[in-house]
Amino acid sequence: MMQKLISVEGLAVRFFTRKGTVRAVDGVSFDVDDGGIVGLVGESGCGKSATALSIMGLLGPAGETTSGSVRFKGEDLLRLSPKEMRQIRGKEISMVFQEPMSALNPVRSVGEQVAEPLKIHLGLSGGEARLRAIEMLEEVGIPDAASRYDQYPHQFSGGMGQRAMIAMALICEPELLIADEPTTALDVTIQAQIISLLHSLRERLHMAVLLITHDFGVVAELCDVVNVMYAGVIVEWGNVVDVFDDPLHPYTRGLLRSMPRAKRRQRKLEVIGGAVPSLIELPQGCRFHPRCEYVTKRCFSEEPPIFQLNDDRLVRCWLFEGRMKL
Amino acid sequence: MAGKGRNCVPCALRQKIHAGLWQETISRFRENSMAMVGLYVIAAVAIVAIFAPLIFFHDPYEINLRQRLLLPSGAHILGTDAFGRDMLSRIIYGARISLLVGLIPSFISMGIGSAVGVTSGYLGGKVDFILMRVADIVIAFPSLLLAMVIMYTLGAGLSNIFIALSFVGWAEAARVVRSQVLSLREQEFVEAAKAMGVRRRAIMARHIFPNCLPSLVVLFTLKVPEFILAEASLSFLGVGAQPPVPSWGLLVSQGKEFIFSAPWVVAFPGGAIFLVALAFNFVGDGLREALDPYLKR
Repeated sequence: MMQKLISVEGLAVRFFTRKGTVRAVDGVSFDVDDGGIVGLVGESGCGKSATALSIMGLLGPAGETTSGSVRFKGEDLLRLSPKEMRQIRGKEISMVFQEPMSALNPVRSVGEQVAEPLKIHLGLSGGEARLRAIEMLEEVGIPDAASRYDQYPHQFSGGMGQRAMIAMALICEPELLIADEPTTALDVTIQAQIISLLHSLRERLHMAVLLITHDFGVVAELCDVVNVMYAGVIVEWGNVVDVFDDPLHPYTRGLLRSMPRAKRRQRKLEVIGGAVPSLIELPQGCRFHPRCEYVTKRCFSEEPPIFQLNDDRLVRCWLFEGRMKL
Repeated sequence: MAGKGRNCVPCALRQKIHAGLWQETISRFRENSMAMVGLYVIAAVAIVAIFAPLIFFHDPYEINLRQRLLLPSGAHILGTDAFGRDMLSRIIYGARISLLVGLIPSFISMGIGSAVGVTSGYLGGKVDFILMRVADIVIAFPSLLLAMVIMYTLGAGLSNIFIALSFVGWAEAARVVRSQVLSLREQEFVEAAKAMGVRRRAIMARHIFPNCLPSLVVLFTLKVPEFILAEASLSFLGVGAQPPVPSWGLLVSQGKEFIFSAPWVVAFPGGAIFLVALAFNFVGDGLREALDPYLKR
């Protein structure tokens, strides 16, 4: 049995805006095993990124983690002081962002940025950090790394930039990598390269990955376990293979059906009708009911609990009433 | 992947891509002929100022009452002043003072302004409010009047001019830097730096501040002539450099009584001020244009 590396329990995040309180994350629980890859999938604005930022303690002044716990190796990250949290960020938990070009500082050389965590967390001198950073740049597949070290982000392509970001995130060999849409901004061919890079680096460094994406294809390539998120809650949890073979929640079914497929002949791409509800005024009952094709009377008034189907399958939908309630 | 950048891009274009941010700026700057003229003028004045003792033919302080207010001639190329001192030597010596008065307070005020601006913009909240209100007060005051008040309090003299002008100048730099920091701090690379565990102070100094440098360089070149003129005004009003120091402002001030009888006594130092201020303005405008693509970003 693998050990849990990080365990998120009942996490709730609120953003306070002029229009009202945004309940971006509303009681999310999931685990990431030591060395495992967990996907967090959902549409834009369903709270995926807010979950990641909350784990990292980077919500900023407008956001607040209002309840829940994030146990990382037995310690609740939400209770750590800013200083303790800073020592974990970049060393034990790292993050890769969506846009490599805006996540790299335009006026500092790429190498300098990749080497920075080494200086901060391991106290390496400039020369040592440089050597190590060049090694790491080579490892993520940047050709001619020694001369690329002194170049600036605008001299890098998007794919190379993302490789450099990954090098920066992994240079202190963290135990958990949070990848927030790491392939979304890239070309499809580059996406595949980045995915296989993450895959091989994970094996070598034996780190766990929390992959945040809206792309089921990426999840299928990389993840062991997937959490499907909708409007701030997780609606389905299971093994990647199980979820793909037999999606249970109507939302997951809709998502999988709306993926374009080459094999089947389709005239029109199927879509899920309607739009993601406003997180300020959530619909009563089940959050998905206005868009659900299996909607019943009950869905309008009562929010479904989580039903457990078997050891590794959870779903939040009244259709599965009668199964074990969690 | 590896070959993508190597084979597909033509050689010349690739060199352009590979040139760094500053190299590109410099090459754009060189295409601007006005700015280059400005740069040559400044360089010439700077060389003259540095090697002044080797260049001038007369002691700038040597009084010769028999040769008062001479017209420009072979012996005194720019004539002599009311005490028979050689104007050319005095102007050359004055270039040292004027350049120092332009450069040193600019450096100091850019330094203070950057520190205040980055802190204020990045931390926000009360710190921002207090620092910016102080800056507002400084900016709201007529700057020459404020400098005069400081000069009266501290007493005349060159080092006090530095202090007075720095005190007047920092607020504008702080404003410019702060406004940039407000947008910079929302950039993803700041978040990425935080996610790597970088300290707040290091984020301000190493991640945010370097992004403000292009606009600071431009502001610097525009501040230099402003301070040269301010010193001239202060000296003209009698609270700046004190005689017999040949600051350009003081030369104009002392020559004003002879403006009709011996106009060259005023015209040459006045022209020098005009020329240097104009040159710095050309360079500043050229730099701003050359850096524009980065400033727009």
